[in-house]
Amino acid sequence: MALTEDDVRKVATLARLDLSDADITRMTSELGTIVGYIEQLSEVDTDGVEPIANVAGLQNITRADQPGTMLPVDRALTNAPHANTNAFLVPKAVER
Amino acid sequence: MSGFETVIGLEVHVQLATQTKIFTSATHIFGQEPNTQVDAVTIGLPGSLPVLNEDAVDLAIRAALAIDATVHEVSKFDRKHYFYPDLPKGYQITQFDEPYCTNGTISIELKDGSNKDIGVTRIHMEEDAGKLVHQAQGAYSEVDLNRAGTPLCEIVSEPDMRSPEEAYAYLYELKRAIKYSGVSDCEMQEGSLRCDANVSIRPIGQEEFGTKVEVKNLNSFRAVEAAIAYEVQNQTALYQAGRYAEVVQETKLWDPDNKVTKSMRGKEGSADYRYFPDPDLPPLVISTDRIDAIRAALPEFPHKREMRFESEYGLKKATASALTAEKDIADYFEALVTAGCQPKSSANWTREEATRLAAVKKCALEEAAPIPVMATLVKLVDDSKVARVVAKGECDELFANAQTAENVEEYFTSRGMIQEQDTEALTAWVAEAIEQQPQAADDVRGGNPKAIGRLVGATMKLSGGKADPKAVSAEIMKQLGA
Repeated sequence: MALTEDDVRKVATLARLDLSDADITRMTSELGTIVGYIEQLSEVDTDGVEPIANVAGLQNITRADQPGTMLPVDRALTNAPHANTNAFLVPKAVER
Repeated sequence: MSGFETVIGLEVHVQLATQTKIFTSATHIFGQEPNTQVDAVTIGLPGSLPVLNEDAVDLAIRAALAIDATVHEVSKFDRKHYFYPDLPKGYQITQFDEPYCTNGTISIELKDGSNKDIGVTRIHMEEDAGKLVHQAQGAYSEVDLNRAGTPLCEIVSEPDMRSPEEAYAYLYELKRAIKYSGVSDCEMQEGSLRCDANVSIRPIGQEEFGTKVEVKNLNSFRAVEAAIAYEVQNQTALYQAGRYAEVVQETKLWDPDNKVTKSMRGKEGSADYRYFPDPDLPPLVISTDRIDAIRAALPEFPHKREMRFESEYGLKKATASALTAEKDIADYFEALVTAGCQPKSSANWTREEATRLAAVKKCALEEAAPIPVMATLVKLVDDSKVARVVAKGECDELFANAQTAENVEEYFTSRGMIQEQDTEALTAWVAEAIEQQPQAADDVRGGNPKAIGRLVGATMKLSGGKADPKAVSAEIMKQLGA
């Protein structure tokens, strides 16, 4: 399956990436190579193999409902590009 | 709207009553200072990993059993991607194509008294998002992640409802079942129960569904009802005007002040959430033993309990319904009956006094009015030893002084409030009352039973309120030979 420029534009929009036309051309070629490489997997015969969602063979890794340590608010906000004393600040967003 | 049929499906989110979040050990207490209920997982720091909360699963299983649904042995968690500042990781962990629960039923009661089954397509577990606070001024919004990661069950109904009233009845029964089973406190004010409605119309007889509009921001059951009614009216008017093409599949917000639904700013393109299995979380396997153990510990569900209260205790439908709206009230009532009180008086004292005392003292019913004390009190009234009106008047003081069951009778005796069972005294009071009221006595003898009221009143006055009115009436009739 060949990757088109429209595919790349759509992925860029979903990822909130603002790409120039030159970027799109380059990305279409580079991503196409990567996708093509991964596509080799489709050559494997998987008839009769049950699909699994997790390769580690684990199940039910859970914990008890016990409160643990939380972050003090100033620590929680440390890495935020913008914050006031108790909240992260983001450019005003419209209601989703 | 004649000629059209309304089709409604509801999506209800309930927050599970765990102590900690679904994938991490931070707490999720409502109403705390912003960003004080967070840890590395909650704010999506790189390298943090989700671990599923055992109790969230148990509560989710309870929710499934509360609506007679199928719990699946194997389910998995998926990532649902979108960018919004209330979602720190850039994806929400949810269950997409393999939810833990499908195929439930909620029975609702229609206006004509008949029952209708509303199907529940599925329930899945997921994490809640944070909250945005839009500042009135300035270019920024504040992000509070206290709510992020709170465990949710999303309960998706079939498009089985045909009117706003049916939607209301569905929500009522769903909330009652969920609250009863201890899954969630279902406080709409605090957002622990939230509802979105999918609404469409179609001409009667048409097979295929019309275009559905999703309405959000429904903050009360009444808002759900009103928003659906508005949408139906709106869609029908467009249809009749030949403008049905203007009804598009979209999400609208209910504006409670103006009582209209409003289109949200158009999303660019249709949503593409790029679901895929979350590699950080292994599949969830729920054993039959686990389901059976949870089923065994479940309370009797309200709808069934209501019907049993009617048949077993002879209560009126309205009374049975009111008693079973809350589990603690129904339990309290039944404890009184078990203690030997008459069902009707038990219902009355539960609803009028126990709930009032609990509201005043802001505590549980059993704490405000311990069952042994209340049962003794109700039995004194049932046995006509204390007049009902007297007992009600003493309720506050009796329960304020933390009386024990043993000294309830003493409480009334010491205050001279025990109704006189002494027939000798009663005979004398009645004789005197007849002497005082010869005209009334003649009227009763002459066949006017209403006149007895004056004689009863006079007797009660003579007894200082201690005589039992029923016994007084009987004695008057006896003495007058009527």
